[in-house]
Amino acid sequence: MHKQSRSIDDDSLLNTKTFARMVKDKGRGNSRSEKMSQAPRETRGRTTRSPRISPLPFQLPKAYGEGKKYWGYSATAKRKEKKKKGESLLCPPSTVTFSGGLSALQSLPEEVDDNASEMPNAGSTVNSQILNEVSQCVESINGVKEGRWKATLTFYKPMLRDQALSAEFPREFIGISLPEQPNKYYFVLRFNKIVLESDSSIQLIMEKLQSYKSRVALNFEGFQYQLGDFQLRVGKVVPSHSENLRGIVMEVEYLPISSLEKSKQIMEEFFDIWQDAISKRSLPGHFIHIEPNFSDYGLADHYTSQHTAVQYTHVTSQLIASVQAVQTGRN
Amino acid sequence: MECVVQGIIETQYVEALEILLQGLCGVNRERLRVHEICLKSGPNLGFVTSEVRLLCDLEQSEPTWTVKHVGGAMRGAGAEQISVLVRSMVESKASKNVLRLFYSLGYKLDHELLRVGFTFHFKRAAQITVTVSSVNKMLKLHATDEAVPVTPGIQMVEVTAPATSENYNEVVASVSSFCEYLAPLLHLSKPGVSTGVVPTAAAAAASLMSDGGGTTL
Repeated sequence: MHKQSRSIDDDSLLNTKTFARMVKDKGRGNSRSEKMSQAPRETRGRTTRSPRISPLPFQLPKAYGEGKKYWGYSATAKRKEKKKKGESLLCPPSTVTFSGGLSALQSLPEEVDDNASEMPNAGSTVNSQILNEVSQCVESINGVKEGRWKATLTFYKPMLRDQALSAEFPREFIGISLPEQPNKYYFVLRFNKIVLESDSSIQLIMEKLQSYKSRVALNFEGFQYQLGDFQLRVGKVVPSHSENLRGIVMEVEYLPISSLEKSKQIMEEFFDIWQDAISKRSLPGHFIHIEPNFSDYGLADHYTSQHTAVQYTHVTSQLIASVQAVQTGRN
Repeated sequence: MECVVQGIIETQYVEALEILLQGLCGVNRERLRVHEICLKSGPNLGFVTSEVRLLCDLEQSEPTWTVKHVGGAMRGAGAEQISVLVRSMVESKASKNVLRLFYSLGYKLDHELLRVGFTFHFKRAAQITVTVSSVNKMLKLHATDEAVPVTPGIQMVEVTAPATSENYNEVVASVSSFCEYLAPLLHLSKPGVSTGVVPTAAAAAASLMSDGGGTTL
């Protein structure tokens, strides 16, 4: 079993050194990404047409291969003030930034469920322990903690006069609030392939209509990290009423690019590195990723917060499916 | 919540009203072209029927959508004594697929309108909006290009101001005060309380048109 206060292992130290050297030597290397970093500062990261790709802050793992595409990636518009603060290690300050994103999920295996069910708030405890471990893993590859973050996902259900007619209404109606868009709210109908972006006041309208009511809410809460041009959010899933549902979510954004297609390769590379780093931790469960087909929702290649809302919806449904599969197996 | 009064004016006097409003508000008018879609919940949805309006602003190069819910009016002896209606109102901007979302949720089209006219937005004690518009109906579903006036020769005037439970008294006073300036041209009252056109409208309009609004009414 892993320890809570695990020290950085040798491979991680190697990565750290590599990261430092790449920053120092930027502009002298011959690799593709290093060449891109030689572009004038004022032109870097401004447009998705000619995106600038900064070097990854670590070496690629030996097991890296082009064929590993069992996970997905995405990109999202980045708040400008982040760059103005110059918080990124690899990008110059004062540039307009874009980002890439990835959501992943760690579902917990049956053994953890069994142990946890014997303790009060056990799910929360187990989640916290694994979150600590994942956070340490991020820090071991030079992630700089920026603070806490929280997203909320709410399931709505119709208020029906005749429950027998429930099949006429959407099976899954979800509302989402995201930390990067505090004044916005998102509705997703997964089976109807609809995502709606609105002001947060839409929640008040839904209350007044008295046609749908919120049934259960899931909080995604944890820590945000900056890792070169990547922004990472790792957090635990905290149900509002039940401790049965447990999981760890990781969201990755690649800041300089907002095109799904153009950020694909570097996101793949990052994820391979992440998988390599996390595999050394012997955590229960594993990170998986379900990539929604954004075009089904009418979303374009240019990443927006609506893409993020769709991702959270699909990640949550995967989490629920994992828990249900565990319960079915137990029965 | 919001404070609201409404009235009507003959189309021939709208130009004079615009001159008067321009002078009173001190801002330029904004053109108005809004497709209003009123939806009601289906027969099995919700324990009582609910209504929501989707407003599509057609004046923008890329039409924008707003979800609007108008709730019940404030009641009680105090509410009856004032000449302005105070009611709950919530608006939310939304992306363009909002109609599809509400259809999927079980809402049905009740009716639709096209409002064409102009608005003035200005700040007094409250943020007041004056809307002057003709209300048009569509002969075919969503055919805004083929809309025809519901009341030819008559336009609707609405004065609204956002308020809270703390400040609505001040907002009501501000709206009432403003309405007095318009009295020679039209009379404004609570929605649903029709007072018709005013007999002094022709003279007031002639005066305004002759000197560009310089005459004290």
